Amino acid sequence: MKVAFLVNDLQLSGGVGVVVAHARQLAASHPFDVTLVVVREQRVPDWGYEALAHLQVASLQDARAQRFDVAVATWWETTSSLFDVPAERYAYFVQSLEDRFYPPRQPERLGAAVTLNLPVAFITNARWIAGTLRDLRPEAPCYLVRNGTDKTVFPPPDGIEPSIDAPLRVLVEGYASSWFEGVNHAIATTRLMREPHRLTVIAPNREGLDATGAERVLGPVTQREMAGLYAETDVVLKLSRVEGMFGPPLEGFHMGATCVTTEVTGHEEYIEHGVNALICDWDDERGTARLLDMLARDRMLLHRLRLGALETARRWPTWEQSGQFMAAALRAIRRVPPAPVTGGAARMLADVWAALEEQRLLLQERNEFAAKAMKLEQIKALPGVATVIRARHRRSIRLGLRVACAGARRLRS
Amino acid sequence: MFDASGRDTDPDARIERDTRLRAVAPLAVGGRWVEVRAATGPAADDPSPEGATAVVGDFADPAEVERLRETAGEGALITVFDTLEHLSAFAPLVDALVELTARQGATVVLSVPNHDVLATPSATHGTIWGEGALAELRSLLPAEHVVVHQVALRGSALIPQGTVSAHPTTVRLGDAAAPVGWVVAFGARAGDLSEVLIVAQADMATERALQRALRAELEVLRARSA
Repeated sequence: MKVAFLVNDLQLSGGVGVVVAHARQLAASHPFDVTLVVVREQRVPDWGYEALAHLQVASLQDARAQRFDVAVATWWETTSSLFDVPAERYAYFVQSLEDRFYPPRQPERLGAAVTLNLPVAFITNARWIAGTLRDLRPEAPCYLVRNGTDKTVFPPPDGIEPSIDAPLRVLVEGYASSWFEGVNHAIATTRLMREPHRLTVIAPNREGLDATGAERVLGPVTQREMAGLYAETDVVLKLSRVEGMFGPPLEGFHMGATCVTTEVTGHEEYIEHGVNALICDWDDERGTARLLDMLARDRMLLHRLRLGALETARRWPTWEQSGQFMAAALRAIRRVPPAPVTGGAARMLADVWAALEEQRLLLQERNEFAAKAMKLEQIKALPGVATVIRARHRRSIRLGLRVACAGARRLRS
Repeated sequence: MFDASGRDTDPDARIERDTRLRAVAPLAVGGRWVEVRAATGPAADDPSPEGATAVVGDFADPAEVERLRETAGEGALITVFDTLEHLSAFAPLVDALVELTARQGATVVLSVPNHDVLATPSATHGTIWGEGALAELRSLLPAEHVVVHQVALRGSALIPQGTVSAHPTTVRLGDAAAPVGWVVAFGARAGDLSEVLIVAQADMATERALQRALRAELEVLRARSA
């Protein structure tokens, strides 16, 4: 079976890494001919990444000249190229509801949302996304394929040494520049801790990062280095606002670290409060710091949670098992009739109407501001006012005005 | 046959298998019954239930899947117990089972364990199963499939010495507690799967003897391989 996965680029982001891991499994362990189609015009980077060795990488132009059994979009922007790739069936691998990556009124938010209305079969890696897609698009096939874990990179140890009296080892990871990852928020929370602790921050880049209080700031690091860092960690602190499958704490679990997390989407896939992790409230820095303090004081609880985390990890599937489900899903997509073209049309129109309404309100707001600005300009153009405004820009006058204002304030007090 | 996981010699595993077989027995009446088994599974060499034809394999090879299709024919009952978890490549079998229900009118009843509550899977288990894997499997099956929880029971009895008697009892059952596994049925007669409960008196002395035998076997094998 010939399958094309459309990717925006081959940079080692989490989402692309998942696609590459699946592609690699399909090519190595199943009779699948897999091509990664890079839809953006760019030079294909040299990953130096062993996973790419068995895979074909093609440009969109090259892919247009081939015919595939299934073409799979993997990120909302890649859907715009999906139907350019000749294929018997079209699918969309949804790893998050990607409109949430953008703040309200940002145009990309609508762009990402409407792609869920396309006439495609869905594959997703989290049960909460599968449930949402089935609610949104009950007529479209939706297959669940959870991410596997590379147990050679994150090998669960046979046992873990209890951490008895050393300061609590806390790890925060992520991009501070992504508003939804809550990295600075997590770091700020550790500053409110009362118990001794050692904070490690792993940041792929330093953009927007405030790591005040961290004992060390590292990154970028390889997956193997990350595994080593998790192995030196008692608790991963994750205060994300948006997650898909929520991978980082699970990687920590594999190396014997528990987690303190918000009830972010994806947490329900494997996190159990009081069993393998602790769940904190949203925007509750003090409460979260107290949970961390509790773990620092109650080493029996800490060890119990770490053992629970390790047990969860041992029962998490490998990429090999995950590849079985991906292969079965792709075969099923090829076997059954394509998703009905009309299925998402009503929803798409509704989304467009909602966007038009939002645009209309924005325009109305803009016109009201424009009218006010015009009046202001007319006032500013009056002879006396114009003179005062010009005078305010002169340094000596500004100084005089400041002295006069200060004098007036003193007289009032 | 001993299974390194201990699940086969474990009387709980035996009684779980008997329960499943009794549940599907009404579906087998008057038609063909094909029992699919993993070549590396604990039941590979067990005698087939009365009226069933066993098809044993690892099902990664298309020829084995084809043999299953031919054996099944039209309208068969296909049971796949203690099997999926022992296959390193279960996707081709799941694929074939879905096709058999769609094209050959088969009824499929399969079981998967819940490793979230059972012992950590041994090397003989090809894959790990739990609620998440069950959800993945279900997404591949026809929408109208049926899922039944297989739950563990625990009990005790007081009987006068030298007596043999039958004790009818009432057990409150619910699906709130984590099951030890799930039975999933799909195809023509999936809805006919019956509710079954089997309780048998435990023979603790025999169980201990089996555990000792298994331990002895393991220790000798370890010593030889050291």
